[in-house]
Amino acid sequence: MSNIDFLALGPEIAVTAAAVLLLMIEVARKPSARVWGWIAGIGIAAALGLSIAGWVLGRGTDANLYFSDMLALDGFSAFGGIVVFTLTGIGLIAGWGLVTSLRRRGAEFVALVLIAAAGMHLMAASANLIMLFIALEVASISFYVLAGITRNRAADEAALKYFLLGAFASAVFLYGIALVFAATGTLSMAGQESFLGETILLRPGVLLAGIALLIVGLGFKVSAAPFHVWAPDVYQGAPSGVTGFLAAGAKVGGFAALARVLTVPLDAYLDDWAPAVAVVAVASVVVGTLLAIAQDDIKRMLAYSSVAHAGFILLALTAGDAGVEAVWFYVSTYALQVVGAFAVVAAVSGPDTGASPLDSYAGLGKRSPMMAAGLGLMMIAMGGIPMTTGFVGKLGVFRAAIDAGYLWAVVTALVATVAGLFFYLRVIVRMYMDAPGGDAPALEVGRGPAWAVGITSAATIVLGIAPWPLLNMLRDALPF
Amino acid sequence: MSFTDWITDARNVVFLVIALVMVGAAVVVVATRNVVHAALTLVVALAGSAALFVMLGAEFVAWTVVLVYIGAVVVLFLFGIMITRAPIGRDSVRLDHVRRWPAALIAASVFGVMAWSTTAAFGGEEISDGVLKAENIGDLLFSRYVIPFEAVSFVLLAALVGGIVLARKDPDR
Amino acid sequence: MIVNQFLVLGALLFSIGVYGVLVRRNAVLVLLSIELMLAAVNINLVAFGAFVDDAAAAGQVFALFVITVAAAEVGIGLAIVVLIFRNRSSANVDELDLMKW
Repeated sequence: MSNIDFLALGPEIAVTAAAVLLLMIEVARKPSARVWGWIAGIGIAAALGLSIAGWVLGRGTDANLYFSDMLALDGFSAFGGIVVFTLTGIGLIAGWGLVTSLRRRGAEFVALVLIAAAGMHLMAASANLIMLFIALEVASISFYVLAGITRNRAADEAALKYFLLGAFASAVFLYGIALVFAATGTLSMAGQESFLGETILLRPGVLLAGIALLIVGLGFKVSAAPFHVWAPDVYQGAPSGVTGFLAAGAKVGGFAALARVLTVPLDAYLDDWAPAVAVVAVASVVVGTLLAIAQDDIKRMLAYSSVAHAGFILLALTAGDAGVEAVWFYVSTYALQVVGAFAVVAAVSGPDTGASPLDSYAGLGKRSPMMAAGLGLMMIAMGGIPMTTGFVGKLGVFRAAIDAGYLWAVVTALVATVAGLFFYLRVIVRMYMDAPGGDAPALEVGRGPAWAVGITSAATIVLGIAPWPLLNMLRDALPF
Repeated sequence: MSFTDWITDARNVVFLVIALVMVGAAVVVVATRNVVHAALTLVVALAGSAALFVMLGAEFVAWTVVLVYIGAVVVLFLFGIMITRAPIGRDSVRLDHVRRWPAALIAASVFGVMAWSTTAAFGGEEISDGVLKAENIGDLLFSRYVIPFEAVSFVLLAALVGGIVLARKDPDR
Repeated sequence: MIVNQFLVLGALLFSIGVYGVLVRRNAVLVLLSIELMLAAVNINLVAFGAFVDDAAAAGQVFALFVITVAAAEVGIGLAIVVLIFRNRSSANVDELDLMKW
């Protein structure tokens, strides 16, 4: 029995080995930040390479569960790895100013980012609910600390709120797992799939309650309304250099977990959970859009917009299996947009500060044309304007939801999309129409944010104009 | 199964006593005005759960609860309470929100929905009483569950590094 | 012993924990309430494990993992509480400036 396959675990081994090595060298030698960068870079590159190898070898094959059904090596997990490690790399580059400003604590920061990346990839690769819970905790615990890493008054509050609501969500998620276990008698997703496919539950109450709690628990993690209360405060309080990574990582890991749990073991109950997902999706889109309009801090605005985006992605999940491609396209391109947008925020208000009032963007078009163009592009993409990935992504989720019969939800989401353009365009107007306040000098932009904005902008435009390579790739990125 | 049948089983009488003590302790944890009392009554609730685990044949889990939760976690809580000098003694204003009734309503409806929807799925199904030895759990942890076991070590590593990063005072300041 | 008695006890402890999370202002007390919810989850897991009676002992092993992770969470939580206290001499969650829930 080929139970052991180290390719399934390769990316985790690469990044966690880099994290441990970094911590040990830091204790023994106290090297410069450049050494941390090299170790982390090699670890992430190796993990990305192993994910690509997993993609080449693992997609489309059938018997691909390893380590006693704990991990899956399929297109879904390999594509998840590619997305996670790409965004970890870009996120670290964008936030490198934060690493150096932390001085000796920077090593621990980098190590925690690497451990969080391992956790996020495990969330996409888990084929067992025990494994999924632990993966979720690896990522979440690292995230709580990263949110508070600067230890100032804004960051400690972000960390506490994130932690308390995250721990609460974990408890709810666990209760859901316990109930699904009660209904199916196994924690292996493959076992649950075959059990639920073959058996008709006479009294499905316990399973449905379990599904509801799973959706609530993971809904907290991806900040879907009405479970989004933590997002604005955490986004605003966390240091800007890491907010993009936190925001994108929580979405990618959370939606990978949600997509796999809902479409693999619980596929047979699609008709029961899809309406609930549609309601949560519409609530998120409406609440996120309405509250984003009222914000005057760009990080709070992006937080509420991320609530709306969580709603758009959930719309695609109402189609079950058929929606997974749209979920992946949206979540992977949105993750890049978020990382790019927060790279600009880090450049404008400093990587180690929390708040970033919209007023400080007035006249950014003159102070730093490149950053303004980058942020403008991300706003356009998040608004869903053609020739960007945001448009292709929205098209995909709307089509999936219409095919699944949720026209009312799509119509509501369309109205919200139009309303959402208001606050995305307001940022652009601010940057180009308004004069910079007082005597604002030209903005000095470090190489880190510049590279991050450049890469994410290029990806947003190229994949927006020619999305077919990614769309073709995603046909193989389905769960087992 | 009628209630009189149920209650004539001696184990169920023991269960009922433990359950009532646990629920009472849990109510004290969420309602007391004294932080130290809350942490100490949590010990009672957790000890009750350990007793239930023994009844269910999960001896290793029971001892883990006693050692890890009661022995370490609650002590950690007491340390946390003392370090932050949270109000010790009666101080009702600072510990609770005023929104007590809406919260009670939400909790009651959570209980209603959960208890109703889950108990409806089971009739009077009996729980089998086999005892799983620590030896078997050890075997399983290092064979079938070895990957989650390794992954948990990264939860602990992240918590360790994070705890130090957040709570330590910087030497270079 | 039947399954339902454990289910009812678990649901009751869980909802008492939910009440505590909603009503408490002090971060340590919120964390204590979350521990109650996790205890409820463990009772459910072990009871279901005994009921399902599978060879893999999934219920008991999962309960062990929950205990371990909960201990790690408490460690992090108290580190954050200590940090908050050092910054502003208070551990009450809604004395924080931006608290809006």
